[in-house]
Formats: sequence, C-alpha cells, structure tokens
Amino acid sequence: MAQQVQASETRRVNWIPLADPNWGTGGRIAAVMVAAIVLVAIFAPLLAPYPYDAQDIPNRLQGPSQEYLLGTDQFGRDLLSRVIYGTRIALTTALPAIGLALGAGLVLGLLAGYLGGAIDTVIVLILDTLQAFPGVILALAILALAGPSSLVYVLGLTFIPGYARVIRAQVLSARSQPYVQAQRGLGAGHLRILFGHIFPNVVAPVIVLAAMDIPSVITLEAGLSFLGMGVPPPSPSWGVMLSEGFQYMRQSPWQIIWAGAALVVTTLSITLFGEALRRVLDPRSSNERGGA
Amino acid sequence: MLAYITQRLLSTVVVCILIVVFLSLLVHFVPGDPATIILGPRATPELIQRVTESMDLDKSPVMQIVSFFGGLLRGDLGTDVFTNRPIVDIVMSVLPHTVILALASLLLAALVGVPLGVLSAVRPGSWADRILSLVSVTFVTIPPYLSGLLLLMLFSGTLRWLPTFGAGDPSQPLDYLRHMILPAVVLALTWIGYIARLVRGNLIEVLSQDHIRAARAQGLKRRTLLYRYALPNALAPTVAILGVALGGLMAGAVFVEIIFSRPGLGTLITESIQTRNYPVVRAATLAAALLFVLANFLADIANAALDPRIQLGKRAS
Repeated sequence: MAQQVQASETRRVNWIPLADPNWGTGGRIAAVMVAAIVLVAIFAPLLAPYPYDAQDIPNRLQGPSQEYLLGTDQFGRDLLSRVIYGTRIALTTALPAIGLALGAGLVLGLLAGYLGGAIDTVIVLILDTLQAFPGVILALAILALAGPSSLVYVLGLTFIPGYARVIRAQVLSARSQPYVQAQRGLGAGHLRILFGHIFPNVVAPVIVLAAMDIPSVITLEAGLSFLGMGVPPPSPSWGVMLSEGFQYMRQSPWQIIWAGAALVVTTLSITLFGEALRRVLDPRSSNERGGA
Repeated sequence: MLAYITQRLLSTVVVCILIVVFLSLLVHFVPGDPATIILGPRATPELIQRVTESMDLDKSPVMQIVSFFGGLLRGDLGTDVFTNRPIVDIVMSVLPHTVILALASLLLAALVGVPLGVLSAVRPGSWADRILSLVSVTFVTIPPYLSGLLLLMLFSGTLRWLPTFGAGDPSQPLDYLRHMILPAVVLALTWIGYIARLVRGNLIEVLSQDHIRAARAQGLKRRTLLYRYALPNALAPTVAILGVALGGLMAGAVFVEIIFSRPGLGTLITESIQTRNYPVVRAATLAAALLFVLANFLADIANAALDPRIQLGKRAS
C-alpha cells in the first residue's frame, strides 16, 4: 500500500519532467525566458529605473544614453521603464482573458458534448456565429459599444469558441469510452460522471492549448491598444507605445523598436515554451517537431 | 458532391442569418439607452432621434432584426446620419480595396509558403529545416502592425523605392500595384509562416505513407514522387485553411490600412468608431463577416473536391 502511494506521488512529480529529452535546447531556453518574463512582470516596480509616467520634457525623443538606457518618448518618459511595466500589462490582460475563455469554453463544451441534442445544436450554432467574424473586427465592433473598460471580456469572448470546440470533441469521444459506461452501469449520476470522470480527462490538452493561446491574446491586446481601442494611455501597453511611436516615427524610431522587440521576444518565448510543453506531455507528437 | 454542397450551403445560410441577428442585437447587450451609448459625448437630442430612427431602436428587438435583414436583402442599410450618404455605398466604395489587398497577400503567401514548406519537409531535421522552422515561427509571431511599422520606417526613411502612403490611383494599374506591394508583403508574412508549417507537417506525413514507400521501392524518381504523388495529397488540407486565412488577412488588413493610410474596411471601421458612427461600424463588420463565411464555404467545397473522403464525412486527418 505504502509503495503504491509512493508510486503515484512520483508520477505526479514527473508530470512535467524537467530532464525529459523532449524539451530540447530551444524548449529549455524558452522556459527560462518565460520565467524571466513573469519575474519582470511581478517585480516591475523594483526593476524599472523610473516610474512609467515620469516626464522629462527637455529630454524628449532621445536615443539610448547612460541616463535613459533605451531612450525616451515624446514626453521624455523612460522607455526601459515603460517596456518593463508593459510586461505587467500584457500578462495581466492576457491571463484573465484566457482564464475567462477557458472557463466559459469548458462549461459550453461540457454541456454541448455531454447533453447533446438540441442544447448541443444551439451551442454549436452560437460558436459558429462567433467564429464567423474575423477576430479583430468582432472585438472592434463590441469595443465600439462597450468601451475599452470591457477589453478583458472582449478578448476572452473571441477565444471561447476554440476551447468550447476542443472540449466538446473530447467529451464526445470520452462519453463512449468503457470507463464512462462502467460508471453509468454502476449507477453514477450525471454530475459525478461529468466532473469526476470526464472533466479530469479533457482538461490536460486544453491547458496546453491555453499556453499556446497566450501569445495570440497578447498580440490582439497590443493590436487593439495600437488602434486606440484597448488599454488607454498613459498605461504603457506595448500597443500604446507602438501607436505613439508611429506618431513620432520621423523624430525617433526607438519607441517602436523597443516595444516591438518586447512583444516579439515575449510571444515567441511563450510559443516555443508551449510547443516544448506539448512535446513533453504528449511524446507521440514529438516526430512532428515544429510541424503544424 | 451535390449533397455535400447543399449541406454546406444550408449551414452557411444559417450562419449568415445568425450573424445578422447577432449584429442587430449587439447594441442591446450594453446596459443603458442604445442611441445614447452609440453617440457617447456627441449625443444631442436631435442626433439621438436620427440614430434611433435609422436603426429602428424604437421598435421591438424582433422588428429590428426583421428590418435589418430586410434592408440587407434590398441592399439598403439606411442612410449615414452624419453625411446623408447611403451606408451601403460607403461600405461598397472601400470594400474592393480590402478584398484586392487580402487576395494579393493570400497569393503571395501561397507562392512563398508552399516552396518553403516543401524545402523543409524534404530533409526534416536538417539545418535548412531548422532555420526555416525558426523563420516561419518568427513570421507567425510578428503581428502585421509591427512588421508594417518596421517596413514603413525602412521605406519612408532609408529606402525610398516603394510608396508608403495611400492606395495609389486605381485607374492606373501599375501605380495601384506599386502601392500594394508593401501592404501585401506585410499581410502575407504571417501566412507564409503558417502555410510553410502546415505544408511541412502534411508532406512529412504523406511521405511516410505506404504507397509512397512502395513507389520509392519500385525505383520511381524522387522528383516525380514528390511533385506528382506526395505534394498534391499534402496540399489538400492547405486549401481548406485558405478560407480561414482570408478572415485572418481581413483582420490584419485593419492594421495595414491604418499604417499605410490605405482606404478599406479597416480604415472605415476605425474612423467610424472614432466618430461614434456605429451604424457604419455595424455595416462594415457585417460585410467582413459575410465575406469570411463565403470564403470558408468556397474553401470547403474546393477541399472536398480535392479530397473525396471529406464528402463521405470522414475527415482526412
């Protein structure tokens, strides 16, 4: 008995084994980068040399210097500090949005897949309708009415159909598996089957999907902020920085360069980390390394 | 095939109807008086009255759906309360710019993405494959607004080979084409990455299948094998995502049009949001969604024609 407990504990520890060769060098570098990005977001006030909104008008639109390592923007604000705080904005918008999409997608997917029938048809039609709009354009149409304060909800909404569909498909296949039918034969109730047995089996692949979607949410948030419909200034969203850099492009290219670099490094690191995570969790897919 | 087309057509029509219903009712999801929300600080009693009338906000939600839908079928989505121009005319005057740009980018993405994918798949794991994989991941990661800004900086400052402002003169095809090069390249980059990765993955899978190995064992030339037997099979799923790609390209066009000051759906939507002209935003959104649904329908039909298994309801994957 004691041995069994130990075995299951060892398995839990090895859920994401760090020594797994499937990580690859790239995956390990990406994992370190993601950890660093999260730390930058958490400790932004300690790392940033200036407050993100501290103005120094005489030194506006400067290039990198000893005083301002990455230069300054049109109000003389320190670009390094703004890029650092921007990490915080990117993650604090993307993570709740993904959480929301995941939660709503789980509920819709479980209901549609498990109950089937008319409820399934209605849910699938709603998902089809949401997916019939090009993402950014749907987000813009809603933000035009609801205003930028609803940004997280709108970001979440555009990602719900993806999760709901994956979960629905997983539930459909799980429903006919022997372990579910055995539970039904033993007289288990719907809720017990759904949350006790089906849910744990569908949730793992969705977590990986969520990790892979974080870059898309960050990119969408920055894009909407670039258009002036996302995070409002003076908050240093990378999208706001790109938009302001666009206006002052002829005087100084630095704002676009640094905000763009931060965006690409962050999204690329999370993407490569997500791919490595998928290889580790599902070694069967490792022969498609880097494949679609 | 006919049964498949009918079935897809039916579900496409249902989705189109749902799009209209969704856009009719969207304004009611936000708490408060719809006309006041739409106009924001611009709301004067007179403007509220005109918006209420033009969007039938004084009628019941069901009547709003019916009148929006009827208007769409008649090609009449009302008159713009600010310029008095028919809204359909406003949308139709910019729509061709966006569609041409999206199609040009799609063509470019396929012309570059497919060869890159083939190159990677022929020698998986080689240095060329690794470099190309990294390049395609990077292309997928860089959003169009960033690549747009970077190319704009490069070509409006250092290199002045290509125009970076406006759409050019449509009556002069060469001028129009020259103005389209940079925006089309920017939009295509993301999809070059996607298509290259997709083709690579599919081709590797096809090349490992038994019929290809049998053909190789019979001594068929590598080139014939690749281009005559493997590639057509690997390209079928790529055709299916071209519909999705068109939606992505129209979304990306929003940014590219702003950055390169081009007329189009994206410029129209963002300008109309700034002037709080929601009826125009709604009509432009409707146009984008209907085009996207149509593109997906056509791509599905093309894919089914290429891969008969799909008509039988057995997905190739």
